[in-house]
Amino acid sequence: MLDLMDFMTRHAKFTASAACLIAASCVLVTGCAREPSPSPGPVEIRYWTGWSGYELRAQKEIIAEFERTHPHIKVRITSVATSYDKVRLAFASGAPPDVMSCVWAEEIPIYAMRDLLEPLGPLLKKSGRSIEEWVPVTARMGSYGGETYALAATVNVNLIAYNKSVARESGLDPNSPPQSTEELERWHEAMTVLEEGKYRRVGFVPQMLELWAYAFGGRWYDADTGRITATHPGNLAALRWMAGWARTSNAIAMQRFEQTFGNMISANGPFVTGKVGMLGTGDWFRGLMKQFGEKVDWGYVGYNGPAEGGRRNVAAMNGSVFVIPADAQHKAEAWEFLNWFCGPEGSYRFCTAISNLPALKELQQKPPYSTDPFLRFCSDVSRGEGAMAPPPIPIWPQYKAEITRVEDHVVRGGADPEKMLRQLQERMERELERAMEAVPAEEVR
Amino acid sequence: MSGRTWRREALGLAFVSPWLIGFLVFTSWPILASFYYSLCHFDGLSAPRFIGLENYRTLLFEDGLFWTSVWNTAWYAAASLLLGQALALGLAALFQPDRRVFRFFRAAVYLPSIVPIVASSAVWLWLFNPDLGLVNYSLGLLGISGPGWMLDPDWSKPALVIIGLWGVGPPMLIYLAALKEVPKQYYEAATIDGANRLQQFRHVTLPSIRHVIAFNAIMGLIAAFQFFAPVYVMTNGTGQPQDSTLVYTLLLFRNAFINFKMGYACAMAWLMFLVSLAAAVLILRASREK
Repeated sequence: MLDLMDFMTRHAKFTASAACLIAASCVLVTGCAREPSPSPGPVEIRYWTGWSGYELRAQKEIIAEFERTHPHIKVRITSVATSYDKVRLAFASGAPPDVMSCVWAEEIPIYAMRDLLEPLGPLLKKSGRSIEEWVPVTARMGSYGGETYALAATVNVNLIAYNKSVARESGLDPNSPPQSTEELERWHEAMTVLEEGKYRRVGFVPQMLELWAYAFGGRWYDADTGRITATHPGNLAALRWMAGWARTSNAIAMQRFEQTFGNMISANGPFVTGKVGMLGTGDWFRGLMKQFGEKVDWGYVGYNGPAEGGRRNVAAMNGSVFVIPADAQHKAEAWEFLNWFCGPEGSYRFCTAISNLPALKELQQKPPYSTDPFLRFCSDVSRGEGAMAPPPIPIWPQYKAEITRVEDHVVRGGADPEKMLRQLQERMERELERAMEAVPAEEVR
Repeated sequence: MSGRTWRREALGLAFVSPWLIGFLVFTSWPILASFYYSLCHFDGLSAPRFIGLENYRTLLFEDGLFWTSVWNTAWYAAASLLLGQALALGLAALFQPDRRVFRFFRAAVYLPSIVPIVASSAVWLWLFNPDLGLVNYSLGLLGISGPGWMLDPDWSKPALVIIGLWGVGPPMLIYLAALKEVPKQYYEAATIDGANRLQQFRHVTLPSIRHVIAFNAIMGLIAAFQFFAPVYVMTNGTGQPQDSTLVYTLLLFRNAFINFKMGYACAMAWLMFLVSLAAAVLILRASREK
């Protein structure tokens, strides 16, 4: 012991540094532990959001208003926009935040089947509210096994934007946009300019098989039978149609042409400069055009299937939703915040601040959503029969990536559509079976 | 061990304990745990369930994408290793003389390896743009019509190899150091024996630096097996076109973080570790042979 004392005395600086290092390690280790016990005063809840930039700023302002009207709650907001993987780590650690709006709707079944989310049905009932207040598709997006686990503040829909000037130049009536795939093909042909084997202008490039399959009457999962339906005739018809389009229009050449512009929606992007006549996008497009192409005369139309047997105004819904993790520390306060933010007051403030469409029916019936033609159109799409929620299965993110893979192989690689969908069906059936077996009820956390 | 020596040892261990604890908790334990998880059905969220070798069986006998990724990675590793080492050694030999101009080129060749990978990948995406990219523009000046590169499944892997070659700086520096260590007397003796430059390189330089070649080959192979960021950035994590850039690590990442199959991904990681180990042993043995 004397040796040690002697050493420490003679090497005081070194000893102090080492002691600091060890102390820092201890602080780090204890810092990973749960929050300390609450002190008197407002309860602080931790809220993680997926939004960033001006949307995050808008949220902060709205949260300041919430804190003013709810002085017993303080909201500590953290943006995880650039690191969504933290969401899963938070769930896995058993120490998640109190409220999250950084969980994708398509991931709800993954977390819900493992009892990682707080069921919101009883809380809604206790607060005198009902999931019926939300647009049906967003209610479906947040539910699993008949229970509500997530609420939406906003809703996004798909649409096709078209350049009216290009339409006029091509001899088309800009006030009668294509209402079917047949008309869409006609518009594409009229708008496309091909010179010496190179595209000078492209009408439209159909992408996103997941969405077009819905337009052709297809579906990817049958919730009634609990079966994967990748080989649904509608899916096959959509894939064949996309493959046919790629053959006649030379998909690779069109892709090369599009890539020369970099970002599709920017000040020198192909849509703004009139090099692409029609573009698959969504309700967020208007905000982007205000930013990048205010002078462009453009219109919009829904994703419409074939004239016979097709669906109209289809949209593949997804997006961030609000949840309370089952392991949240302050569930009552978390619900108070979530209920306010996704309720009429918070939702209206947020949607108007970021030009998004609200998910609540009553807000969609209020100005500007009921008076502005663009917003009214988006609202109609979100409430229509073509609005499709992600299939309530725990493999949907993987399934969706595989659908994109099939599209790539068929449209750009020339693979046989029927064979590719059959393989997808078999593969996803196996994956779903494994995923459902993976978490027997008794082993859920 | 006497009491005094033991105390000094203990003191030393106490001082390195922050690192030691960090290494054991954050490195060793996860490595061991990943092996256990590779034998489990584990999604990263619920408790792992032991299933024996099922993950390995599925990978090797059922998962077609696994073999696609193995092929893509093997293709990339072979091409990037051969071309990368040849280029690094060639540049080191070229820039070996201690002249100011060569000092500049050494730094210039090394510089890309300190550029953030995501930034350089975005730049490469533009360089390989079929119609506006500098690569096809340069080929056009030679009268060659450039390919579609990252849009063409036949050319996407060569594009990745070229990107990999951009980071040839570190092995070149190691070769430079090794070349300086070869005794001058060997070259003098070879010159007296009438050996020309090429013969000197073949019979003097290469045997003298074979251990360094082995080291660089092993490091290059490991880097090739772990090639991930440029593919992820350039294909948005899809492995397109037509799975031609679906390298092993990309599939592993997708299984772990998109498909929620952490146990399966751990099995992939352990298979890669075993293959890397076997390859390293083979390279080391080959370097020992006379």
